[in-house]
Amino acid sequence: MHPLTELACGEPKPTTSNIGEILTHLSLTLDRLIVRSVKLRDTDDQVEIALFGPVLARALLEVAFTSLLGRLDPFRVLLVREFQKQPSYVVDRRSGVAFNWQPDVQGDKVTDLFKADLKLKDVPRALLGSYYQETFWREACQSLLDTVPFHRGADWMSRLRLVDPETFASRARGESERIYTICSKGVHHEFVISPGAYYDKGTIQSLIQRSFELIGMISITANMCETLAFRTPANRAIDLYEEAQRELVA
Amino acid sequence: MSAQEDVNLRLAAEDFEPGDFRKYHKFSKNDERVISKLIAHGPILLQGGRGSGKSALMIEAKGRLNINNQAAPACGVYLSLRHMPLLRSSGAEYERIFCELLIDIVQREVEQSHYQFSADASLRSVQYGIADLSRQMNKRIVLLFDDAAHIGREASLAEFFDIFRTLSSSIVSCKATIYPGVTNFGTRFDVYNDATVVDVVRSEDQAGFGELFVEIMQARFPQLVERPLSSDLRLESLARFLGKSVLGNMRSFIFACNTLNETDEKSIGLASVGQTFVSLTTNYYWPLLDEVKPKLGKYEPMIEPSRAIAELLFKLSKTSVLVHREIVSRLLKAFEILEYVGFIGKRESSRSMKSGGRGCRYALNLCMLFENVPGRRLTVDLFGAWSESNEEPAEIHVKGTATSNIRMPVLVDGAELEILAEPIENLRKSQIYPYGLTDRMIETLQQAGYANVKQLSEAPEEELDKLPWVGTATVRRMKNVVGQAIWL
Repeated sequence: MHPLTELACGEPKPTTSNIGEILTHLSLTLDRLIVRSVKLRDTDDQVEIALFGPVLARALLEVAFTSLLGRLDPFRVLLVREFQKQPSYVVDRRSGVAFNWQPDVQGDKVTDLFKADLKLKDVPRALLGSYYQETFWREACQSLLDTVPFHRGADWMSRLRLVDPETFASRARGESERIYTICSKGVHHEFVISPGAYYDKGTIQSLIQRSFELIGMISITANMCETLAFRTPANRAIDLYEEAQRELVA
Repeated sequence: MSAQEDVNLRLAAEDFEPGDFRKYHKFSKNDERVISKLIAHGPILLQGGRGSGKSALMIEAKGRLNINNQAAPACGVYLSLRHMPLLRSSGAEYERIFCELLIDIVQREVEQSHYQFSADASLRSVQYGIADLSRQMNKRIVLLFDDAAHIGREASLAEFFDIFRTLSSSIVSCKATIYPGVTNFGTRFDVYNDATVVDVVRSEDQAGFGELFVEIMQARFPQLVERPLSSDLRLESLARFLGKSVLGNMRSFIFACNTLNETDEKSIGLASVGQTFVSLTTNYYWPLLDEVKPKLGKYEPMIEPSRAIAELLFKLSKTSVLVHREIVSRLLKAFEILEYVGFIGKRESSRSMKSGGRGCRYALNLCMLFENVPGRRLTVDLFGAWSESNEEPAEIHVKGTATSNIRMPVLVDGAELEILAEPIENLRKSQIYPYGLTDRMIETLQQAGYANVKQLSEAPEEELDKLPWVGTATVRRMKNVVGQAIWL
């Protein structure tokens, strides 16, 4: 398993539990996506880059974030699994419970988080939303910053150290939204003119590199909090984080 | 003065002719990552202190996006916003001046090619003009705005960020340099959603840190590199140590090498490095606070609290310090000024303190820390300890009395920058302005009626060019010095 995959998906065993089966599937997918992304990043074929770069960069984020959401909120992915196993499930119809970028990752802006008449049904459970910031990310980020020794974590960590735990989710949300939006235009083939001007080699390389770093940032932070299922111990997580950079930084 | 010495007196990337720029500027692996973000699509705010190398990164990105380079993925336009009228205007006036500057620079760029560009001085017209240019080229346009923020003036930045946001599109990628203290982005600009903030931080933990400073030494100080080193030093460890000591700040590193180069010893050893630190502290770092003061506008009264904090930090005898976040929050502008002048470098936003609570960790400038080392001797042990990065930081807790006497002064809005009223003699060649004005230049300017910095900054280049003994190169030098005086 690629070190970045292990950070994002943990080390699940497919035979021990339903969530283990899901995470194993996601980790195999993420592994393949990482290998293909690196290959594409290093190619000189401009057409390949413009056509497949956005698809791969967006897929990297979707798979890694689904996995992290599954480890934080297993109910969410277990529900999708059960739904997909039903005989009534058909692939040619839009599913109302499928993983969805906006509600599952970004979440809507909430002004008064803990208002007196708050109801559970009104609480969005987006991975990078405000409620996860309050309940999970602040603690995880503080724990990360206190755990990683000064000289460990390499370049990605030196940048992550400058992120204030109070703004962790909004930083990650902003960066993921920018990458996702740029990629979406290529995934949906929104351009009616040649995409070469927008998806040049440098832009795609940068998008793929930013996706790797963002997945690394969110995954290592998540592993620092005991709330996470299949949590990787801190020392192992730091090793994986450094190893991922050695393999992925161009 | 030899050509090499002349080069070593140039502190700002903008002072180099395009041909020389490549020769004397080197970039680490981390710098390359930043350059690739400047070239790629998407809005970027490049954040870093004085002399951190922001302009060099932008100029390099521009160089790789030359209008006539068919292989380049985009066309780069570099615009320095060091322009006095811009600093003193707001609202529609700011927009008009900004557009005029942008039109002028795009036209100059287009003149080197067969493309056409025209626009009038309104944002809408500029937007259309640039979009049309992009269509002609079938390429993105990358607009690189340098010195968008002036440390003493936050008021006009809201307008700048509005323009930045408006110009950004799928075919126009806007990039701008800002200082760490910039917080006023206006009401329309959301810093986390409308741009990616990239910190220009060179810390010793980054890949290629040591190698970068060796390369710079080799390119800019060949004589220094050829001098023999004492048995306890190697070129790599020396360059890395100097780079770390000045917190990775490029301009300070050049100062350090200049000073080290001037030492008389046959071979360079730890004693020479110690002497360099003492010299830098006395002649460069502490005077820097006085140099910066008149550029701070309404933040001018913050210099004294900044000085008091610096004196406190450097007495702690540790290479880094954790400061409780309530103290940082109360004295934020003072900490930003210290970061800006390179006394401290933020390394962590939040870390738990042994004494309770959480704080920001700052790395301390080792040259200044050396001032409080007993006997001012750089021993082998001290060199070894400071070369490592694993020392526990000192702590300043909110419950302690260390900072309780440091008070925030009252700030008055609308204060004029004091630097503008300073006489042009203050721009004379000196430790502060090593590439400053010569006596003859000052005399010529005074005879022509240019008495202060403001008058010189507002003088049209054609007027200066008509003065006796003044040619194109001298005009450029005058403008660079006055720019450095106001902006750096």
